[in-house]
Amino acid sequence: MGLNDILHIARSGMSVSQTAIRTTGNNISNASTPGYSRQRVNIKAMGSSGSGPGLGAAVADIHRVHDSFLERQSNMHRGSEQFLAGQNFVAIQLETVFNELEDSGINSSMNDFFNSFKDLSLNAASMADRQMVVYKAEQMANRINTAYTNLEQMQSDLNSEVEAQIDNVNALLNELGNLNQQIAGYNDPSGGNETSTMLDRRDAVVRELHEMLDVTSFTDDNGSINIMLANNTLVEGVNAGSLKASPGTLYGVELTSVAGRTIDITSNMQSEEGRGYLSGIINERDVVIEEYKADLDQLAFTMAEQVNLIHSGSFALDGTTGRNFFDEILVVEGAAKALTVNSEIVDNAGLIAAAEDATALSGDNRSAMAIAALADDKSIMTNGSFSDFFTTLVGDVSTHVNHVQSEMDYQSSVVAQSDAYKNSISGVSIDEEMVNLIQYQRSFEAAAKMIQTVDELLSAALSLKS
Amino acid sequence: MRVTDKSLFLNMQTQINASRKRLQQASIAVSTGKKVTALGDDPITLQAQLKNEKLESELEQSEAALNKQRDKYNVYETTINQTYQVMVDLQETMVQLSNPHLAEDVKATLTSQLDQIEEHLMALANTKHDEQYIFAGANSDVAAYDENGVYQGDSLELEVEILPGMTIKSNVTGESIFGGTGSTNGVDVFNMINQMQTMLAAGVDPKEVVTDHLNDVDQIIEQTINEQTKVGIRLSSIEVATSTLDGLQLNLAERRQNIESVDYVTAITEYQEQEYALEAAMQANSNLIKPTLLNYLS
Repeated sequence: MGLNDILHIARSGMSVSQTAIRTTGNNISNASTPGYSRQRVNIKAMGSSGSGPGLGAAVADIHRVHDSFLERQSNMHRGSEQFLAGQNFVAIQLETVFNELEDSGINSSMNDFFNSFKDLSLNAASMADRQMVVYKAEQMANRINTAYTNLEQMQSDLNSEVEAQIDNVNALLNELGNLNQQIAGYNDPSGGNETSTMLDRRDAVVRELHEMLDVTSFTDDNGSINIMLANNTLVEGVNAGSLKASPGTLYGVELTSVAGRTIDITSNMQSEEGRGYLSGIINERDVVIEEYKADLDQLAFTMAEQVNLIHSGSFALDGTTGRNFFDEILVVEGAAKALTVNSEIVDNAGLIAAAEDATALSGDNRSAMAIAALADDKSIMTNGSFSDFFTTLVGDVSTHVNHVQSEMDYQSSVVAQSDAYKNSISGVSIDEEMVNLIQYQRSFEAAAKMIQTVDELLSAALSLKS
Repeated sequence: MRVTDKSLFLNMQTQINASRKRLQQASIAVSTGKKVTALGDDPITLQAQLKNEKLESELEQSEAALNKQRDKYNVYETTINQTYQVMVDLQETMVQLSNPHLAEDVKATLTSQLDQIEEHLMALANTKHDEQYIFAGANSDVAAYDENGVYQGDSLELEVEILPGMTIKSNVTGESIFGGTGSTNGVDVFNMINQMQTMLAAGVDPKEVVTDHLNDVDQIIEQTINEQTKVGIRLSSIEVATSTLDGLQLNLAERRQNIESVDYVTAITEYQEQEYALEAAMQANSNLIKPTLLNYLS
């Protein structure tokens, strides 16, 4: 072995240190890049063919430090968290629809409505009290109408949101297909900076898909990540299927699988136990809001039916009878939107039928009393009085909002926890990198010293001649 | 577990955020004085609050109803008291008329007094309150008695609610005091006076006329006293209801306070605790991120 060989060994040391320093630099630069997994240089010793010392060092590979188990766990938790986030997005708007904490809510307007009939019963002939009944009835009807149309508006806004999110999902599906292709193009899936970046990006895409939908992801034999949704393959290797919003009052979701099969997966997305943001908002839109709408409908329908029942059998100041107080509502569905005070009565409050007996008109307050008494009729709705029913409805909304928010807080902490685990494996520690930097710097310096020493040795050898 | 810079910062963010959120909630409680400020805060309290709201509005309505009924019955009381006085005058006039040695001019005066009494009674029977004839039963937009003293009202005694679930009769019918065509028992005062006037005009001996009707006038006075007592009883139930209402309102206010309002001592203590917690989190975290190897490398 000659001195030149030692020079080569020293050179390999310098080159390895250089690569290591470059990797350290890359780690430091990306210390706060989202989704970045730190890289580590694996250095191997180059052995000699014979006995003797080795031939220096070489970079075995640049390794992406990553735990796919933790990644999958984190994705699952994120899916649950985002489902709740989707629900919460809707729930906070529900809070404003059922604004019962102020005196401007439906509950207080119902109280006012029935009390106005009690006031009227004190002086059944009073036009002022009659006007007040009309005013309070219109106010109550308006508030119920408004709450209902607000819910409908929310649903149609959510339709646009669903459409936007589906576009987003489709872009991600295509990107995942492309990334699978590019990554497969590299022979060594764990080597080199380029693949590492692509792998990180692919993990990010898969994460986003989990955050959006209740998907399952797995890595196939070729190293591609495949995506399944509702038992259909959405991404397989380089091929990607797609989602489509199907039009309607409530936009549905259609899935076109890799195999080209198109199925409606709306009902899968409505589940209360779903994962992903899109499932969260679809569940709220199709299940939760629908339920509240149905409750409001039931309230409005029974209100109109019961008040009309008494009113149409009673007598107005002018002795006429058979008039509905609220415009007649024939079907429960949409009743909350249809609740309006009979326009004849709005125009002439004298037509309010407060009298039970046609011969005793002006002072007869018995029908007004009977209508006012509906307020406390405990058998009128499935679970008690109108007020009981509505209080339960608001209680349901409140419980729902409360549940979503506290569950989301919990899931966020679970996600934070799993992120912390993932970070402890893949994250960059500046201190650690500094130590590595010093270590590699020293190695580099030592290798340089080697070269200097060999140089001196060579000079010494050459000086022997002169 | 490896501690990385990112997890350090993420932790810091999460902790400070959570701490800030709690501080904000505590500060909302202190500044609004309410336990529930958003719909999702506390479903149980919210429902209790809505139930209270209903009760509160009912009690408010009751207050108005009681005031109106009290006004109305005060009018009844005054009117019936006056009626009683006039009835007593009528009785006196009749007693004077029955004097066998009655001078012609005195007889004429007494006869004209009968006219005045009739007019007076008519005015009282047609008393209006709140634009309504109070003695006309449910038929309250027409005068209770027409110019011939014929009852135009009906015999309905209507009810109104003065406390949630508690009703009282809201009127006294004219026929129960003054009598009328519809009244089955009792004497019609206008009919009686008219009869006497006709008989006197026909020259029948006043003593005879009066004797025929003295029992009737006793009966009429008794009718009036009966109704006076009835009104007195109703007025006193209005007073009882008023004090019950005061009690209910007080109870409700207290319950409201318990359900809705924060206890300031607890709320402020909580606020300060959260303030310290946030400061501590900031202090601890800033200490945690300060030391780095970079400080020692030159």
